[in-house]
Amino acid sequence: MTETKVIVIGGGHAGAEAAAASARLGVPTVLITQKKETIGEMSCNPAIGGLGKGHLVREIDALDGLMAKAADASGIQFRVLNRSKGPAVRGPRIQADRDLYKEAVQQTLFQQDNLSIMEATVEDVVCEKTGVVTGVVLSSGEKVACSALVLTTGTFLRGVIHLGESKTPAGRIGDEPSIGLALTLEKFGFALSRLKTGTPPRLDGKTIAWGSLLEQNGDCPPEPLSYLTDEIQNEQRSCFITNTNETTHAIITKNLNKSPIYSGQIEGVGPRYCPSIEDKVVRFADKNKHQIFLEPEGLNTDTVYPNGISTSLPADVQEHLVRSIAGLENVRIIRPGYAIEYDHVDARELKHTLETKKMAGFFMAGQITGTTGYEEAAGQGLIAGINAGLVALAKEPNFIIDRAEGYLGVMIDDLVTKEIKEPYRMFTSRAEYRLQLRADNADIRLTEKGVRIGCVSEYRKGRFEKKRSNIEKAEDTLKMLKLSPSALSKLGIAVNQDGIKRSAHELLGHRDIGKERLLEIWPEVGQIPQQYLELCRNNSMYESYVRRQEADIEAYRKDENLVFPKGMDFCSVGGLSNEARQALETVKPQTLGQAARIPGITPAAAIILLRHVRAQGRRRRHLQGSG
Amino acid sequence: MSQNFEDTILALATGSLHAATALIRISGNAASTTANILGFKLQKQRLASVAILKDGERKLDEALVIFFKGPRSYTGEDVMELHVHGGRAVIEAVINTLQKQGGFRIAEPGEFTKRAVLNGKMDLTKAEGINDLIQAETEAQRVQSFAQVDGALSEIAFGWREKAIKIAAHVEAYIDFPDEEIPESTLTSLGDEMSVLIRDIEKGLNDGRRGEILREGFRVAVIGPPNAGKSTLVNWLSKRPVSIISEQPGTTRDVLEASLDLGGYPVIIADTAGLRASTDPIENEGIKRAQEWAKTANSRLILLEPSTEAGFLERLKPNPERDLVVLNKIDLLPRDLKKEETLAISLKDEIGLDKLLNGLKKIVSKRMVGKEPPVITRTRHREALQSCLNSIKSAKTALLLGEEPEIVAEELRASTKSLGRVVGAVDVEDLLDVVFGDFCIGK
Repeated sequence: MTETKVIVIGGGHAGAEAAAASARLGVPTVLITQKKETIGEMSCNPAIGGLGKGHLVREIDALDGLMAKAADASGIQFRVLNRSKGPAVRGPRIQADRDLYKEAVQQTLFQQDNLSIMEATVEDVVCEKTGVVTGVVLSSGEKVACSALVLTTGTFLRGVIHLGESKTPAGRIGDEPSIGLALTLEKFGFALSRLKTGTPPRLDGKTIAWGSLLEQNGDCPPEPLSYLTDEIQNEQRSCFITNTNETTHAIITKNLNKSPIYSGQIEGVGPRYCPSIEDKVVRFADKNKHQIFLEPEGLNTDTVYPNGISTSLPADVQEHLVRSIAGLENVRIIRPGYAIEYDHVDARELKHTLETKKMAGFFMAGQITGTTGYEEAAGQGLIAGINAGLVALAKEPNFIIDRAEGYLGVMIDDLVTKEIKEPYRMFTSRAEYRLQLRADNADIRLTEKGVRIGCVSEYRKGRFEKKRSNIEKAEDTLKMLKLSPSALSKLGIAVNQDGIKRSAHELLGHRDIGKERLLEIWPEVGQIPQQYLELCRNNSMYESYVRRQEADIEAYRKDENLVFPKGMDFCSVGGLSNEARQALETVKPQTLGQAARIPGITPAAAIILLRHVRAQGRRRRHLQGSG
Repeated sequence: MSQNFEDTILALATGSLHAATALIRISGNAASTTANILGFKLQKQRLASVAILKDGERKLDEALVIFFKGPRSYTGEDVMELHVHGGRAVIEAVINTLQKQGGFRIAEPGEFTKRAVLNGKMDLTKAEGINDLIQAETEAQRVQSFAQVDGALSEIAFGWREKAIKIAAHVEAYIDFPDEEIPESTLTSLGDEMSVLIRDIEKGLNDGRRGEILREGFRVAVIGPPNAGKSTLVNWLSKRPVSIISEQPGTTRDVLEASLDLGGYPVIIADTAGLRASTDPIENEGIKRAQEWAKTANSRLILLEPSTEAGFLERLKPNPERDLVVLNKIDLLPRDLKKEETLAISLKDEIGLDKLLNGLKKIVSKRMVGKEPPVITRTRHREALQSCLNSIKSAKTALLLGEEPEIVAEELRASTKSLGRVVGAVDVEDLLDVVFGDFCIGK
């Protein structure tokens, strides 16, 4: 196997995207997984997308990743969240058939050129020259060489499953944990710490009294996640809603001492936005009910995922508590819920390319960096895979999405800059340029960038270019159609009588002027296809805010372009507080902009850094000049 | 100005020399080496001890020395304080001995406090307060500066910051967690909370700029016809010969300022060129300057004399709330002709000058005394708070018009950004803390 250039360890959502992206760049790639059949497994809830997460999925799709296409192939319910709010904060989400999803991911990977799949356990990473990865060692003792490595171990790194008082080492229920790799990382000096996440019991749908529950339908027609999907083929299913009640809460309170989270058995930190039902009952004691979504796991299975009651209480207590819930009085638990604790690496050890700062050619992506969620993992996998591919091609690994380009950029910048105190999940509030980063314009923002780096297929490129030229045409048409304020007021449209003509494009984004009204004034607007008109409307709607943000973005990019010299010694910068110095030493920011975003770095400290770099630059030039 | 923050800085911290004692303060990494350089033994930190300061074998002075180990010091760095005898030669000898060693340099004005801010020992508003306290010349200025050092502005602005964070966090929760039973009323009830915050900030801003005026001085322009006695009045008020006095009308050409302490308030009083139609270009320029200064003054003292023509005062449109009209040279008038309603004085015979002072004090205190002490003392604060206020108002308007919540959120983001310029930046984690504290979120 001397041919191999990139190795990806792990076949979860990060690993799948990383392997496929590297292979799309034309780089011979091997994906190593313990079990081929679990590639693309949805280990937690059977849903993809949502607020912020849906944005990530669209961005992955814009760079020709797998997730959106697999979701469309397996979706059994499609809903755009926040339909009543503005387009910037609408998040597409789907419920997936687990088996179909896995099948779609596997099919894509198995057919992908330049990619081969290897079933094996990696025990160690080889680093022959100082600080450069050269290969891996399998449990069989066999060595596989590579020029770049992407590690995506998910929750497998020293994973421990907690169920009541029992503790079982496992990466996922039924799978072995990775111990050897955890030792490898420690050997290389990576700081590891513990995180925790949980999952609810799985229920047998045949034993649920569906008739008494509130039904939640998907959108009709369903809106696909991928820009390439024209139509959803699958039969659609509903979700149902029920609630916990005071009896449920009493059962939980009485048995809290048996919950590993409360008995002190678990030390890892869990996410605040995905609390266990124990947490909810304790922290919000005044609430007398909590909502539960009963989500179908597939078309050909009766398994139901009760979203909202993640728990690690003992199995008998779990049964007792679910049966106190309306509709679940006679329910049978197929598999109890559990909590899982695992190691993660401090992502501040990584660059924006997700390459480790310590070892060249060594990349990490997914839950190992402290995130949670399929979408977050897949997004990182994609970026790590592209950059690993670039290393293998002997090019500069510099594929970075910035905070103004996409949620992928926001996420990675947050990860490599800020200390993680809980598993990191995307929210739209994390994106300061949220109004421009919409789920409906991810391709406009990113596809061309992907084409330039070579991770986008000819087919997608062709479709994208056609779409973009159609939108440009539509915008041109709308901008040409103009009326004066007085003419508009005669038509019953009130605008400031300032003598400045208003274009159809401007009016389209106005909340009080509908598309229909516009059609009455300018019938030619009707020739613009609905989908493009909608995009133009969304662009127009935020135009004034986007313009306002331009100066901010310019300042942000200016700071981002001020790159610190390699190996900059932050301890030698005088005038910084100890706290600031420590934060800088931990993160080792690469740019002034990144430094300024580190918590604890005040604007004053950023100015000191700027002066220091400038002074050093002068000194260096001076030395060069005289030498 | 380039500064090297790696240096250890030193400076004489006390004022005029030939005093009993003087304080030399040294801050930075090399502060602790001072003991070695000056040949004394470092005692326990934060405890005063007596030491003989030496340059090699040469004894320099007997001093009281205190060492503060960073970060428990004023600047947050290691600080050495040398309380030496307050003579010029003593101080020069000590400072020279240290500077000879290299790595020490004389601090720039305000550099100790600057380092304290950079090291997180105090926020910017407190540092500004310390500077004002050092500059304070009147009792009212002292009170105001100390209030700022004590956190008057910090505390109030911090309260606003918390309210703003809460409002922004609730909008974010409403946007980001559509499945979580966050009722729409969450959003509508924010309108009231925005109104409260708007009212609070407006109240803070609506202080008649008293804080800034107190810092910078209350400006009184003395204006009137030529030869009314304006220069004599300004000299008398400032108790020194600010302006040249002559019988010649139009002697004063430029604007001449003098400072005085009026009942604890700092007042800047300006002598100006007499107002009349003139053909002399220099005098006309002086009149133009007088009018400009008077336009931006907090008050005008309009000084007339018995022969001033009747329409003069009318043209100036005096405002009894802020202007003081004074008739000078009453010594020239027969007793029965004195007008009762005008403040009548004679600078020559020193008649009615107490009443004039009282009148002026009344005008100053009318403007400067408010129900609550002002917290804004600088234009920088005012601009940041004004821009914060404008953004919250836009957010409220957007909310009431039923615009999309992300638009409301965008305005709120701008508001917390402005507020951050006064009391520390607002991060998304600040918002998420509130979101997860106030709502039971998550499936």
